[in-house]
Amino acid sequence: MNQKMAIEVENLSYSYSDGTRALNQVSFSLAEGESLAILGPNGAGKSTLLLHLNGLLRGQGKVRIRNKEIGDESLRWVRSQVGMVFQDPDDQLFMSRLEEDVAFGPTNMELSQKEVDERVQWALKCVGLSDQAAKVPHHLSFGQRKRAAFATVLSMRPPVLVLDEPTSNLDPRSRMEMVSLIREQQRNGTAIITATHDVNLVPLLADRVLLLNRSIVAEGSVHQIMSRRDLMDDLGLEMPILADLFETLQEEGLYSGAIPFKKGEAIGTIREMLHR
Amino acid sequence: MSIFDPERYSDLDSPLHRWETRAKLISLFMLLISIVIAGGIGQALAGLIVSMLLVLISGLPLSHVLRFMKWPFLFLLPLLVILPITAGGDNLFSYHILTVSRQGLQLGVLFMIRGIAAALLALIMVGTAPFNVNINALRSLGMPGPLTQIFLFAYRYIFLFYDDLQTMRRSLASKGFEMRSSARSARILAVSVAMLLIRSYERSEDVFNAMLSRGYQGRLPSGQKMMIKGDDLLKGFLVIAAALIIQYV
Repeated sequence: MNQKMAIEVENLSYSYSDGTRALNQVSFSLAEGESLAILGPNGAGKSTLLLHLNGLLRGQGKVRIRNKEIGDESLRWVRSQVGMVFQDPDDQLFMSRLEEDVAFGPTNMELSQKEVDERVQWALKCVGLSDQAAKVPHHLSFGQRKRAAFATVLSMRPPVLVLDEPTSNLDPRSRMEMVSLIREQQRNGTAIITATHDVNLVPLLADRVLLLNRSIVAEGSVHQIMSRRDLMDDLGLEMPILADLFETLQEEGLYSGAIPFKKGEAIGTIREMLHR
Repeated sequence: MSIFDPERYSDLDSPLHRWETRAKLISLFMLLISIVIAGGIGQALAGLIVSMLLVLISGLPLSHVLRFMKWPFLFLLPLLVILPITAGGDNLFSYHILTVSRQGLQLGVLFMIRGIAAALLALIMVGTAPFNVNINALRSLGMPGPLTQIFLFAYRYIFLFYDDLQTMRRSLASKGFEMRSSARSARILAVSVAMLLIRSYERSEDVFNAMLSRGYQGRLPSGQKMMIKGDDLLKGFLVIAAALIIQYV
């Protein structure tokens, strides 16, 4: 099947001004409607890679968004196509009212005032903050600010979403709300790239995983990558708790089936084991 | 203790809150000028009375007003103490080597009254409308775009800067740091403040990236359209009339 590509990165390398190599010959692609998680230790270049996808950093190599290469002429278009949610919501909420922040992107896209207003209402409804529209950002809770930052990008209705640690510092309920929000966008056809340390959420968030440590260490489906203890250990990453448990059972010869990653799958597997 | 939030009561419903912002800013600014150039204590007192009356009409809670006013008061207090003993003039009374002059005391009282009245008006300006509405009004009155953005971002991020400052203070305290008048204390404070500045610089870069990623090209979107009605003009007329009357007290 010939899928349309949302993002294509070819041999991307980037060094900071002090000479530190942040990315080395990184290549990968993401189809429209697909969800990819980027995992890696601190300093692996995850955030640096994400900044390239919106044209905020320009390294050596090629980055194409929906078949168009990022360059000076395409920059404005690229930014209307790739919505980027930063790790710290306070970086993203810079206006003095939430509704102004959510309207910022659509207004820069030169949409009519009517459409901007509609998009603001829609985006705030998606993240459950319709009643907070007139609030000052610093009067919102951290969880609300995270969702608000998401709304500021949703209002641009980008076909590609780039999320930097979307669940960091959130309580369990807020984390699950954020996961549902991300999955809902994927169901609507949005391609999503998520950089995260939250290995337990990766199976819920993504179809594919890319392990990054300045260059690509491994890439594949969630099952292929996250059940590899050797790969995860090498990068100092933990396996998801369910995968870790069943991998241990496999190592001890107590289990030989496929590694479950979701609670429902694990419950089914445990029931089967108990009935044997 | 939390940072003072001037717009905490900007959603009240009073004649000053309902007043169209541009008309309000221009009228109050003219009143402020009238008070600041007041030459006599009588004129300044009249200005202070008008300012207090406006604060009363605004319905701003007394605790909010007092919390704001303590800073201008503390700033002006030294003038009230220093001017009477440094400015020359008629000798009012002497105590040891200190001589209090009539003209110096009058000048100190005049500065204090003018300052308090002006600060009250400033509180009404910033406290009876949301900050973004005030900024939009100033932009609509011709304030340059870059200046508007500086005000807007300074206001948005001063609260985060304050949070960072509090975190740093708690961090220092948790490691047993106590402020003393020593070179070591000064050095630790200097390093901490430098770290705050570096963090602020890094944040400014991140904020700029976030703006660029959403299509920022150097201009902020303009706010909602404003309209001056008849009662806005009437309020403006009354305040400007008060400003003129003060000059003839």
